[in-house]
Amino acid sequence: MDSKRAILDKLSSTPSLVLDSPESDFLHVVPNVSNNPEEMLTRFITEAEKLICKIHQVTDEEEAIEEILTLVEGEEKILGWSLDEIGLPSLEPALNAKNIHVDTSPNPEARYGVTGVDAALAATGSIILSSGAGKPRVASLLPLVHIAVLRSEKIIQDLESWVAHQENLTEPSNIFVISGPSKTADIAMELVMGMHGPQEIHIILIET
Amino acid sequence: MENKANQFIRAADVALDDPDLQKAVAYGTRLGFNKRIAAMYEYGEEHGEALRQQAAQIKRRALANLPDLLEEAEKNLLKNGFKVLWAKDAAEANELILEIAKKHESKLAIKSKSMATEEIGVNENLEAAGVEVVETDLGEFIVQLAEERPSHIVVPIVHKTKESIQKTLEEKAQMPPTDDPVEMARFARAYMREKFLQADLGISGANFVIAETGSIGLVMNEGNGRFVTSLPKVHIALVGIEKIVGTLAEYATLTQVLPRSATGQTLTVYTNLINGPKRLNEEDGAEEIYLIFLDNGRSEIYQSNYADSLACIRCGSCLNACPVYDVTGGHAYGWVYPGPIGSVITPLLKGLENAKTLPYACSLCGLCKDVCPVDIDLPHFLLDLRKDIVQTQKGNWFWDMGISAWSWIVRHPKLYRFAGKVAARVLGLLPLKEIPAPFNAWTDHHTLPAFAKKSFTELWAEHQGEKNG
Amino acid sequence: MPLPKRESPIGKAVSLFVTCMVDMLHPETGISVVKVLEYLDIDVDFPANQTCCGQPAYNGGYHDEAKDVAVEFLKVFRDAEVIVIPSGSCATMVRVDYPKLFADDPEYRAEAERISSITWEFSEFLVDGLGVENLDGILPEKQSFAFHDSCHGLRMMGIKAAPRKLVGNIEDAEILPLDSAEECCGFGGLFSVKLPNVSAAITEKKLASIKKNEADWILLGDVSCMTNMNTALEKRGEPKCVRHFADILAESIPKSGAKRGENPDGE
Repeated sequence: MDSKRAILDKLSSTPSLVLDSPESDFLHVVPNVSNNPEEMLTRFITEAEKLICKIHQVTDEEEAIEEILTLVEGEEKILGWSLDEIGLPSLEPALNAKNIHVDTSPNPEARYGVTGVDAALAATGSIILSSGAGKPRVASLLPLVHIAVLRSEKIIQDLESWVAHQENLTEPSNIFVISGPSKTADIAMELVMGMHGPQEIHIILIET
Repeated sequence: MENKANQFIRAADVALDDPDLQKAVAYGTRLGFNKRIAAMYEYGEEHGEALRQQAAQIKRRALANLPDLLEEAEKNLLKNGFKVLWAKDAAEANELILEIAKKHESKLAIKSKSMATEEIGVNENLEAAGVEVVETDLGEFIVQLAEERPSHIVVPIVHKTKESIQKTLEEKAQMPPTDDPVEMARFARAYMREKFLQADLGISGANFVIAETGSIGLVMNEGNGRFVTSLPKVHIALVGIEKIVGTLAEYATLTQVLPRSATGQTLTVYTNLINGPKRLNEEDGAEEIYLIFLDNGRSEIYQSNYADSLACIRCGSCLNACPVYDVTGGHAYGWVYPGPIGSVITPLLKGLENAKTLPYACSLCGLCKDVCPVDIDLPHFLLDLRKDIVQTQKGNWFWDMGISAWSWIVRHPKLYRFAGKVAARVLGLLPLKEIPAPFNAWTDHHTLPAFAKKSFTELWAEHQGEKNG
Repeated sequence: MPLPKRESPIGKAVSLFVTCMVDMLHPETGISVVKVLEYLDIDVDFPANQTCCGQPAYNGGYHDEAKDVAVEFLKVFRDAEVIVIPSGSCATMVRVDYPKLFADDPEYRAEAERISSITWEFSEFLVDGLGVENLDGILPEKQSFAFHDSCHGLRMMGIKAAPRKLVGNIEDAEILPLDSAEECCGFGGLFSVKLPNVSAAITEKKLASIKKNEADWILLGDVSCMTNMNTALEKRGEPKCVRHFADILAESIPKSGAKRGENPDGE
């Protein structure tokens, strides 16, 4: 008998001694997160800053591009999502003007990665990125600094709300809920910011 | 991993004599203990308790429906492009992994932290077949360099001081001398980069398998797990069958409760959902993902009165709370899983006779149950395991006789009172310095308690006399 | 398994289960309990032939022997209306574990549940059972106390506030916090002799916390923890500073045997 059958038969053979639990009122882990856009924006910023994300609040795309240019000044190659996916069409010419080239392949030398954001969670200051055409994972993984362009309308309350709105969850092969720069406390419990993933996250927050 | 659980007492003695270990473990567990409280009860006592109950119910629901959910999960995983395999035991799991490595001609495997892979000894198995295996979690990396074992479910090197970590990195990985944790971390990052980019096989565990969507969920902080599951062409995820959760909404609760309990975080830095190998239009990602469902004794536990212990989400809170773990560290437990959960599942997975001491390595303080985010009644299980051991294991004659004698005495009140009187007279006369083993177990660390000249029974009679007289 | 509900014990006679350790090692604590109960005008009975609740065997995994001993307990207390026990761990054994121990026993299950439903630990009996938080007591001199919460009482029976209220309400008694109050003292019954070095290491941490504490006395409700800590202190040549709170309560009420509300000189 193959192992799958053997295992499942064993599990089905006696009534489980684990008591089935009926569903009761479903609590959100972070309670009472407002769904008012202004409050969500403030909450998102507060929580993201707690995680040591640097927030750059801008009012339009021009300002957003300026912030990005300031950060990546002097670089030759940066990693990034395709410009369509980042959602800043004027970014390409602006970068080109400074001789900065966006690489979509895993270039280990690149120190910056620029991506868009698919959704953001106010309750935890998290940004959600999924894989897809023009959205290489390496852009938010390899470089030292991850620059994420977030439009404030993408901010929702919490993970539970995000989950409730997923219709085609499994379309992308990978979804990352990112809460701050990578870190470790493995060395005698001392917190070190920046381990294998980015050391810094800059969120260019475009208020829409 | 080799099982040395029956050597607990000896191993504990070694740990008790190691001041560095004592300091490091006490510090790490207290930090973890306090962080859990702050995070789980951030919104009040009531809310925190309600979350525990919700998480407990979610896991019980999943376990109660385990066979059906496993089938549903497989169906959806296959739809999403995963290859799904089943391993009834460690040997089969290792065989499957070897076959995959051979098929894809893997030369370099990078691993993210997974207790299940420790359980089956994946590293040794692959290395024997000529595949280089590199642990990429910083703690596990250091454990690998030092040729040791992890000592905690969440913080693998909680038992090591900064100095000892520095030494290991300098001696075994040629790190330029530094005592700065930031520099040590940067060194490890640079070292690992090469491996990340060269590796052709990634091996991980999974924290959750979501039946409804056919996805696996991982929680990570360092980012090595993202490399392991994104860069190499082939990814193997080894998962215990009990890691199933029914729905995405339930996953949302658990993937937040787990870090709050384990490290005091609202979410780990990377909360990752893997829905399958890279889609045709995607830039990067594994081209093939093999999910191996691991039984290795879990279905036996499922059929026993210990089934509830399968609800464990491997958060490590019970380790951080346990007064025994606090002074012995994790290695003393002799196998993969230390602390209260380890004392329950090691005898269940490896056989009672191979872990006889573990259920007794507990003062029955009950704190583990209080801190468990899914409310597993660990103290009750430890007591039941002791009962099982007494009823099935031989070689306990000393305690068997002692308990029999004690039972006889306390069921005969006159004998009991007589014994009390004898103790009152005699104990004070015993030369403490010459008490032979095993009776010196008490007197090594305590004086002998004085038995009262008049027992309560006598004082009561006097008291009654006074009242009435 | 939910615990059998307890009815109000007000107006009922109390049968005292003094526990083997109090009986043999600290009988004066048993007398303290009796004095406090009589002060509150309660009929106290001490069923003869009581010995042990069976916990050492139960905790060691010897369920058959534990049951044998528990059966004797059930017999001794068969006429009891209310049982009061000055020990969190023994009270837990009777209240929480007897129903489990006899769950599959047709002969004794009902009686085990009845016994469970009338059993109280001493401090919860006074505060929750009788509604008495203040004995109107006074100490001979100002003293400060810090509490250790014995594990079974704390976690299995929720005993934490009750003893603090009772002692805190005594005039000239000051309650100070103990930072390790809820941490295990390391005794664990047979654990202390089966794994003596591990047990001692845990006790060592407890004693270090006690040493730093400024209270005059450390109070608790379990003579087993008390014996573990005091004999460990004594081994180190340090004063035995751990006492059962019942003794403090008894010290705070009139020695004449006057009841509460009566003239303390007993007239």
